[in-house]
Amino acid sequence: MSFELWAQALPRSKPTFGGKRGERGTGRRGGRGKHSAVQCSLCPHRCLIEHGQSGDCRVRINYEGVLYAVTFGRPCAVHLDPIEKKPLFHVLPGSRILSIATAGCNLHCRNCQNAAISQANPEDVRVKSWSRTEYGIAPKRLVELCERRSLASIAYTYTEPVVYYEYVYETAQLARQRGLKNVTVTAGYINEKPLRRLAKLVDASNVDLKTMNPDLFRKNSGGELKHVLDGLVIAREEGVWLEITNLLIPTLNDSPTETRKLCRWVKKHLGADTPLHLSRFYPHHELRNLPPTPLRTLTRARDIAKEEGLRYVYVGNVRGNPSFESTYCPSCGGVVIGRTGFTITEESHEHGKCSKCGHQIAGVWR
Amino acid sequence: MMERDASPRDVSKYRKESGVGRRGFLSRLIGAAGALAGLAGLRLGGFGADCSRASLRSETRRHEALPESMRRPESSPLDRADLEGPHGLAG
Repeated sequence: MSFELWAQALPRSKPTFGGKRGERGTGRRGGRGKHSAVQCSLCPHRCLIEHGQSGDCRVRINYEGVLYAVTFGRPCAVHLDPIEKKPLFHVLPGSRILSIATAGCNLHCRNCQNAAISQANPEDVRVKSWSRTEYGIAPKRLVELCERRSLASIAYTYTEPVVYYEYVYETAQLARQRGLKNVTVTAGYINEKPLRRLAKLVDASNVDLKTMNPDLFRKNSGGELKHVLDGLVIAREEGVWLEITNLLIPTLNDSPTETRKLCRWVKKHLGADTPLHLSRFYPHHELRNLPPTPLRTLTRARDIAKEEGLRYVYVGNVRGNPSFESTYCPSCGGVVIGRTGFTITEESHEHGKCSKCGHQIAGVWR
Repeated sequence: MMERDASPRDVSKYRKESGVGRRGFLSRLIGAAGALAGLAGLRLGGFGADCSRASLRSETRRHEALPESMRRPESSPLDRADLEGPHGLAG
């Protein structure tokens, strides 16, 4: 028997958030050991999981009546990215951020750009290890890596940080102790209790608000939109800096009516200072039949957002147009941060305060 | 010649004086290499790891009973190219 086989997974996994034994009728209610079904209480799916099975996310598994997050400490992607790539335009602009992900996601978007890892089984992805003798990367190692590289923040991104909640939580705790900032890039499909617990450690979050149409959300992503909207309000209440991304998919969610509805909701519930990133769709995964979003649609959506009173509106996934990506002062109209792609070309502020008129731009600047 | 009932100390003294059974350079080198290899093996296995046969058998049984997704996937050590190189992931 090889070393790999006997050095098995369980000691590296973590029991998941609030798993409850034997809830809801499965014919095995109250059973013990391997006969006990477990209900995961992390996300609104509330999967009831039999022994040996995983939830909808593929990575939270019931083994003999205990729910385990099998991707704990097992990132499949570890990279240094510009923070503008998340996208976060009002958080430490121009800095690089350690970005990690594990396999799995609790949504199944037909347009997913990272489906190779988000829709993969945890055993099918190659795990990044700290060294040849240290399997995976423990939370303390991620923080150590940030300190070695003089990075100011860690992003839990690429797939869905909700499904590797325990890994995020432990790393975020250590990072917070060392003065590092925590950033999540998420679809926000999580229950209130775990969200409030995590939000206390998260400094900023980019939430993908995919649509304002519940039917489309159900059909395209496999979830209920209500939970995402509720989660956004809760995150704002908890003091997390929020930036919203809306991917405009031709024929699905790119109508002016829907864009207007989304902008109104954002302004009403999150505030006019919440940056909105209108992102261009490119054919991916199961939506390869649709064309990229026309530029005309994107500029029209940007105009609608501004009409509705949002102060910071950006157009993403379009290269070579600085006016799409730069931050303008809502008071004097001057360029506060000029951007081309992920590169900062011009900065005219002191910790977010406009150099020309002194207006404080909302965001996390130090 | 030694007496038949010589003590270990006598044997040692005899060997030292006569040169019989003395370890040569090559022998010492091989011995040192063996010790190093032993230490390296211990390091790989983990200091203090319970490597008894019974423990291994029980771990193996436990592992085989696990769902496939709970087993240990392949890994590659993190290096500079991983960290800083281009990648096609969004977000």
